[in-house]
Amino acid sequence: MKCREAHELLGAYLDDEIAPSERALLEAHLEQCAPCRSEMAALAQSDERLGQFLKRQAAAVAPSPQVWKRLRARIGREARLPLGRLFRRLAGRVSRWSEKRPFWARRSATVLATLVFTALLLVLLSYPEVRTMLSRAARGLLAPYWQTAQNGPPSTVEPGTEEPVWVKVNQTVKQYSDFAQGDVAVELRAVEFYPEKTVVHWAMTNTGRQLVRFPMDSSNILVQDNAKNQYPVDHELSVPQVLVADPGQQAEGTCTIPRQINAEATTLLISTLVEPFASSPWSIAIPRQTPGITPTPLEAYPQPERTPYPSPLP
Amino acid sequence: MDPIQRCLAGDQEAFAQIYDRYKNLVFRTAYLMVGSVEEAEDILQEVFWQVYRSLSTFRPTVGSFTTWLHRITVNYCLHRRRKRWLSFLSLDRIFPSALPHPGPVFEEQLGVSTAIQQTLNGLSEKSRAILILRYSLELSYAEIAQILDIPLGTVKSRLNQARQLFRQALATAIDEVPAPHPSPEKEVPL
Repeated sequence: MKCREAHELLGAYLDDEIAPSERALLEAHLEQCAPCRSEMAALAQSDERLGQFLKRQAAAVAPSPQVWKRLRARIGREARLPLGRLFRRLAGRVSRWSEKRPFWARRSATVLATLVFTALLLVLLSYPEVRTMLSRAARGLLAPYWQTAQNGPPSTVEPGTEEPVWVKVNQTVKQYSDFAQGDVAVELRAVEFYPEKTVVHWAMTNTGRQLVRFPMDSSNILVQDNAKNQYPVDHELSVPQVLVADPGQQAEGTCTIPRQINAEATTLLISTLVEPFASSPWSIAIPRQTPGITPTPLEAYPQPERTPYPSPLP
Repeated sequence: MDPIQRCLAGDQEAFAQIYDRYKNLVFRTAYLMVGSVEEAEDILQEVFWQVYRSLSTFRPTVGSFTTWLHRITVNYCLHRRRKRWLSFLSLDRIFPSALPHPGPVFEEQLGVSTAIQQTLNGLSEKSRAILILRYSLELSYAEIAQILDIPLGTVKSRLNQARQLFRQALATAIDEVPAPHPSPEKEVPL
């Protein structure tokens, strides 16, 4: 063995990572070669100093407790998203399956799964009922996201645009003069969030009949947010069409936003069905305000004309 | 029950235990890689976020949990958005007790540390990762190859190159240590 070859093996020899055949050759060479022994000693010393240096540097630092606090908060946010948990479980199952399979099997399975999925999707999408169902399911799945996406972009509503309204009718109105017995009431809300207050635009319709708007005293209805603060309800939202649905069924329509709604505030259009004049105050989940928003004063917007309505109260 | 299994079953406390057990390991590896406490803390958070999200893909049959963790850490360090590699030498960090009493031994240590730091700064990030895994964490060549997903021969050759650089840098540093100053002769009072 030549000195040059020996030098290349010295590191692995010191680390005990050398092949047995090379070890025998190297040890034989070292016995005869003083310069190589000296080189090995120098290399060992250099290794030791480097190791000491790195360990000393590493031992001198420790992470701050803030890191865990930030991480825990992030995990808390993610845990509220059901899709995230679903994907994690799915990833785990796929990973366990693919662990014991050869490469060609994994690749074939990927291609096959893609083809089957695409074909199935195309067949299903050819049915209008399926398209409607998927659209509804997507909205239902996305609902938790807007409630918890604290740092997401605010959902904005441009003035005059028609927003889709999706309602599920699952209650009937039994005690209200403007409704016939068995009629179904649909309530629509556009919610504006300002750092200092929350404004809820509210309207109600009953299926199969004309739109009914209730100029009720705001103090009658309170909306409670996550922090248990209560807000009066403003109601200026117009619903230009009648939504028709039987109890237990779903109805879709559009709702025109009649006036400028603060584009910088988180504005959401939500819809639900309520039984009016229930004895308990309403309770809806309101997402937290998007941080860093400078609100435009409500007074800056032109106020629409209020049409006086007869009191619907009995 | 193993905290990893408990965490997979949805136990949030188990994840806190995993974090407590491995936070220093990840943080110190990241610190040696990037040279900044703040950046290492960011990396620590990101690494454990990835651990939380992909724990279900960890397979004990393929490798140990620490190997998996090192793999995530080093890969994150190598592929993060590059920030400037900070090269600084904090004297009170390296020699907390030696500072008040400088002398020839201290100067030699300082020279050695400076040489090591400068050589580390001059290395590519991949070579630096190999050195940290080998000398700080004392991992085997096979484990290093698995973590970095490179052939065993590449580990050996890069380690050899880096070693030679350090060997030369240290030899130069020790040779350059100035000889101790002769103490001035005391004046004899007349």
